[in-house]
Amino acid sequence: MRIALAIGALALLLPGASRAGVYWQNGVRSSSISVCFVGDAVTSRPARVQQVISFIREYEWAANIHFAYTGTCAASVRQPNGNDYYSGDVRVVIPNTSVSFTGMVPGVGCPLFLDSSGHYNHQNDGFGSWSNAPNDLEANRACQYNLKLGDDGDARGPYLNHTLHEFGHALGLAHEHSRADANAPCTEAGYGGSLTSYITTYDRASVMHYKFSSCGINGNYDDTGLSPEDRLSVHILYPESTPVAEFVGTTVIPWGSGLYLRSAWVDEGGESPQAVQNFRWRLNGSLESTDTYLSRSFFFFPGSYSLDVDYEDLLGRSYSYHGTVQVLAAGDYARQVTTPIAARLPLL
Amino acid sequence: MNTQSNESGIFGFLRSRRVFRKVTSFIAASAALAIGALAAPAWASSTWISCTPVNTATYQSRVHVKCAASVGGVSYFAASTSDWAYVARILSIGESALLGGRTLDILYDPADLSGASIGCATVDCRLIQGIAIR
Repeated sequence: MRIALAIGALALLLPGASRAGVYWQNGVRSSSISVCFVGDAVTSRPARVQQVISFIREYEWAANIHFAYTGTCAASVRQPNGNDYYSGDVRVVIPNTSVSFTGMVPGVGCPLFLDSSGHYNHQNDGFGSWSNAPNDLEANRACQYNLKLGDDGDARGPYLNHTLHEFGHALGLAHEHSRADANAPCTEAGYGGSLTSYITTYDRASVMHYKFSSCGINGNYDDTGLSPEDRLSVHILYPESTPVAEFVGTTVIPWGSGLYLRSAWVDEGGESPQAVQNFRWRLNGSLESTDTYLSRSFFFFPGSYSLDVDYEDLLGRSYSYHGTVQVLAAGDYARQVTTPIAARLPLL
Repeated sequence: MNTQSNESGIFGFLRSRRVFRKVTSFIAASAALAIGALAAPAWASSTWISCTPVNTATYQSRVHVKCAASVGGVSYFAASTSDWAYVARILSIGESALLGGRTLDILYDPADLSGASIGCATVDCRLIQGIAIR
């Protein structure tokens, strides 16, 4: 626990490195992200490298994210101004390789952990892990690494969640425990905060949470993997190549019954309006609702109504769905829905 | 005309995806425990997603349900026709959802790429472990 708190304290101090938050408000990356390991990690610690690559696939399964593993990071290309330039997107340092895990981050012109006078501030002397945010990529091109990943773990080995936590930062997520609405009955130091850039509701199972033992939260010191809300968060941050408005509800209804459709994201824990907003539910082109749901109690006539659903995410990206709502007279509903379904449902 | 949600109370509560997911996860976990230790790894990374079905299809070696939206590029969910009874149940539920305009919940393991052997492409398809109509 002391280690976790030390890491937390360090992370809070780091300029341009891991800070508290939910959506970090420091950008997102492209959907294809190169990942490499600095020094001789690929040959000196191949098992750990492969484990990290295996662990982060959870993000690829949850969102439009593709990690392109390139092995050992390419050497620097010296720039006209004398600074180094490292081309990899996520450049990982792990302990016990040819690159020191502590101290100044190597790289001519690397601004990480330098004070206003350009002197190293010793805030990278510990073994706490950290990651740059997406928007830090270009500013820190001169740094040999931009993600520091320890082997924090237990007898079973390094924690899965610890790796996911740091890569979560690299993808634009921040600390779940630092939300303003963190509401577990928890009084441990470091629990709670002021961040309101919510993507989902507060999630004590998030990998972006620190460990708070007295609160029953293991957070990044566990092997549970991405929580459903973690998956939704990256699903929102990294939209699919075809961004479809996702909703739940019944679109074939008997005449006389109500229509109720609602946002799938909100249903799954997405926060509105912070993460998803500007809903537009249209029937036959007529705007019916700007809320997270469409609720209509009565249709005057049976028939087929065009349904259009649109909304935007926290970064203003648009999603849309086009389909139909069918309102059927009682006899038609029985013939087209009730009877056929009844014939299909008995187990075979 | 907008009205207040008619999904309040116990029905709204039960229809909430988060509650549904917790209940189904508990059922799945219980089933895995009941089956024995061998089943546990297979469920380890399984997850439920909601799916607005756009079609079902059958091929010689598989059937699939296609969802309107994808997650991680996956929008097809398939099952091998080697288990004809299981496939029939999946088709029944998929077609019922299409007929009734209902949302599906599908349980799958994104890490399981074994569906490739039946034509369920690893880039956009996974095997169905469970399926339910909302």
